[in-house]
Amino acid sequence: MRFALGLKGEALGFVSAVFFLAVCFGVPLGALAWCLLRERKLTGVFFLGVASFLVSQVLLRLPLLEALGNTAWFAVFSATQPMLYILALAASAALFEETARFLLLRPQRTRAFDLRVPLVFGIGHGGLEALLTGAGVAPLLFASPEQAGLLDGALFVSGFERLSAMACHVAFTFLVYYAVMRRKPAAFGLALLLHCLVDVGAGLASTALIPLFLFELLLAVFAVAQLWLVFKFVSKRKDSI
Amino acid sequence: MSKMRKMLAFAVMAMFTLALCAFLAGCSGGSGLSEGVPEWADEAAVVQDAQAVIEDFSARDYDSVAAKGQTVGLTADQLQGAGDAVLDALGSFSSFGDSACMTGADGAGAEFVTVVQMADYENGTAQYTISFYEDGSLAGFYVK
Repeated sequence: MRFALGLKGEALGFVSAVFFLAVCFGVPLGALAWCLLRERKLTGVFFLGVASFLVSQVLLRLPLLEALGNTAWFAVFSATQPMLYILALAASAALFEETARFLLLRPQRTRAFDLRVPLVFGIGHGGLEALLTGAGVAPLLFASPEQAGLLDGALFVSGFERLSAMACHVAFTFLVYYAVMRRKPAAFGLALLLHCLVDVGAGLASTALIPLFLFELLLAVFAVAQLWLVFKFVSKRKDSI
Repeated sequence: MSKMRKMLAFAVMAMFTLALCAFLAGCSGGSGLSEGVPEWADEAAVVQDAQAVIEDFSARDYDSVAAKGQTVGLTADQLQGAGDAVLDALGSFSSFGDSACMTGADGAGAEFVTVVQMADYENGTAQYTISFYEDGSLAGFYVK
């Protein structure tokens, strides 16, 4: 990274921080601005996406995990069964988020098939996740800008990961939208499976069972590939009954 | 089956296979920790020992805790350095919550039993992770 950009130390850290903040704040807020200025009727869809992450994770799953974390048996489970623990976390994230997506997209059944709906919804959903990630780091960076220099290129990797994550959320939303509009439960199942796989990878990377750099690379490739495949798949079937 | 579907199916199967391999590899290695207590330990007794350590710590009797932790080089100063801040935030000790045990071994292969004990305080709940060697000395002491 340092070699590629010809930057080092504080300069690299500053560029990384700017990139990270641009992704976390710029992409979701930019999408919202686009909706407000160009496609006002999609603004509601954007906020539905925000709501799906807010309700499924912030209001339901994370408090549940916090409550479980305050029990001794869960601490022992996470320490003695790390793989099952990672799988349980991944499966629960997939279940909560995809179910929220399904329930909030279901009313779209009465409307015409519109590929912009899952795109905007997905950016809203992934955008809130990115916003909250950025909001957790931004105060530290602004309070102590020299911290960016110490982090080297780590924030660039984090920003890159947020982009990949948002692409994944858009892809999952396309699948759930297709499942809702064409009554194809298999597509919903596929969204659950793919989401679970991505989160298992993230869990393995967080415990250093797979190198972080490898995970980020695989995630980026996977995100682009599935987004392209899913978009092609769904767009070919938008007129089918 | 259309070409697109085949590609999507292949991508899914490839990712699933990779994840499964990683999962199995992880399972075969494991964490080195297993649920329950070793043969030389009695669960009720080790939980009682852990609670006694927590009571000493909560009463800021760091010398008593350090005396049990000499094997791992635990000192009263180290305990006080971190303990005072933690206990100031938690407030006065109220009661013990649930507990669970697991078994592990250190780098030298010496087996230890670990007690995860929840403790309720005036201002919140703390999770203690206390490990004992077979001779009753402390192998580890963590609080969060």
